[in-house]
Amino acid sequence: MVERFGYVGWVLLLGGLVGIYLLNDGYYTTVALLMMLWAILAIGLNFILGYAGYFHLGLGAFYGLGAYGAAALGTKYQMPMIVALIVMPIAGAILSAIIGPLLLRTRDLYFAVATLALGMIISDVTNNWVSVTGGPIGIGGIQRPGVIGFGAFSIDGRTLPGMFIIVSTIFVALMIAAAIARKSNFVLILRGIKSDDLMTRSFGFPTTVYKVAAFAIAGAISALGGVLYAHIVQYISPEPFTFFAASFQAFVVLAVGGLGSLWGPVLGSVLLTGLPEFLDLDPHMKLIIYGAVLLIVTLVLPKGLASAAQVISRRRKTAMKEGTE
Amino acid sequence: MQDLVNGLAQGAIYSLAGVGLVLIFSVVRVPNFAHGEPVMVAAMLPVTLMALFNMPLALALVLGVVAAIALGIFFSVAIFSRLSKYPEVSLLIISLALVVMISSLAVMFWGDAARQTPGSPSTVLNWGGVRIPVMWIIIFFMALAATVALDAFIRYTTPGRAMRAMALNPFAAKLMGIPVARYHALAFGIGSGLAGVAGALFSLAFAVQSSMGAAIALKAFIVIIFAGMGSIWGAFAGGLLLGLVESYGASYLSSGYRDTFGFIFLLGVLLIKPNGLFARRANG
Repeated sequence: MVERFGYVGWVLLLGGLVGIYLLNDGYYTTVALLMMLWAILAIGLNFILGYAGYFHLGLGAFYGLGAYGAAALGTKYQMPMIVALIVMPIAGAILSAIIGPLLLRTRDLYFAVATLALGMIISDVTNNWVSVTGGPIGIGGIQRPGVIGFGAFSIDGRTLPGMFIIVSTIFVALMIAAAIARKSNFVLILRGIKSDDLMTRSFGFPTTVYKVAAFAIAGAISALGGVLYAHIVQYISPEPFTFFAASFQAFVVLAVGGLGSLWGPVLGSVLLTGLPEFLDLDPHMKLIIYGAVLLIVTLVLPKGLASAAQVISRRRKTAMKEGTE
Repeated sequence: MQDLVNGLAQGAIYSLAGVGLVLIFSVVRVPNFAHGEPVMVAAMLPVTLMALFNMPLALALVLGVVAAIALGIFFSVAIFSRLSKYPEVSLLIISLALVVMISSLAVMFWGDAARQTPGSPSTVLNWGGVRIPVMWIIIFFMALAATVALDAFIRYTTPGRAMRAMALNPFAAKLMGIPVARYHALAFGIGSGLAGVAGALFSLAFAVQSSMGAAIALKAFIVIIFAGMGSIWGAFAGGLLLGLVESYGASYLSSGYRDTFGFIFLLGVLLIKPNGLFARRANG
């Protein structure tokens, strides 16, 4: 059942991406870009939250780092997008590797609040360090890449469909990497840390190193998401990187989708990014419905949308059993 | 000196909210990020009541606190007491979903403009150039009195003892015949009531707005983490400390980074003592 869903999932994902590209509608393309962006953040968060079980509530800090770094590289130093795509995830990983050992001394609620505080500090910095971040006004005029490739195979990065191909390629590559990582010993040890840190350590695994690595992967992938955001929207300000706009949203996308699952980030992001788009209501009403959906999904499927197939098949099995007895 | 006074007044509010959260968190183990919402309700409601029904200030304030208590009991009875089997992640998300829903409702109802409850004593004492509004003195002693009362309640009364038992081991407490569900609601009610008192006092001395709940809840969490969970006096001291750090940081370094000082201080504390400043020992 699960294996078959895996195969169907890839077909649906690629089919959906090709379909949206062929549809060539500005609105749907933008929504799909947003969905991929949130799924990317959730894939990163999955390593530290889903596998290792640490409540990282400060993802927005690294997301913002990627976006502001990309904006600075693009507008101040005239670097092409590919430079930001390489440099910023590395910067995110290095920053995580520096602060990770300190933050990861704590756990549970302490870690949650410590990372939350980290996100808040970065939000304050983006608002107040006007000479670098532009303060509340932000930075505009971020250039998208020009024409890539040649002839029939060229992509015009300046257009929305061109950007869609670039982001889709990165996203699919990341999904494949996540699928491979999920079966690796590295993730197995992270899961071990989640269920019993002391036991894992006593088997001879340096758990702090593994936790910092998971934290750094989350930081790097979030920074990558930030770079993509900066080039999709071409304008950044502090608001999209605040707690409720970024860290909380990524947390919720992953938790609603399913912690530690491969398809959870995609399912969560399709539901939670898609939902507000299709509700044509006043923004506060939208938030209330959003909160209610969050509440209901969490109550009905505490293990996330990715577990829905298992829950349904289990119910059907018990129903059949009851029928035969 | 002025910074000291400013910090203590602001800090007393954080203390009250933090002390309420300590009670909830240690008794029922719910990471209740919606703790700021009762603060907000008690801060916003009195002005509306006074305008609509011509209510006297004192009654309006009391009704605001009652509304906060009701909200807390609603959280317990309708939501969190039913979710004891859910993982912590789910509880965290549910409490944050409550924040999103309640604060959006409040913004729809009240708008998001900053306002203050009028009618508080406006006398300002002047001691050697230091301005001390009488209201701030009232806030400080109310916070102190509430903390003393809560501490005595937890130490010496039967419900207090029952709650301490629940904090130690909810399952064993249930086996001993403690009506766990009732005390769950009581802890939420008292904790949210203290949050409500914080909100009512806050609105008398400082500007409040309907979207402030999340920020206050976060500060209450910082306070109880400073303190090392489970210590009522630790939370009281932690609140004052947070107020002082913010006040001195804002005046000596930069006022734009006011909130950041508290967060940096928190990170500093966690680096040196990962279990909090006043933690007696690590518990499980």
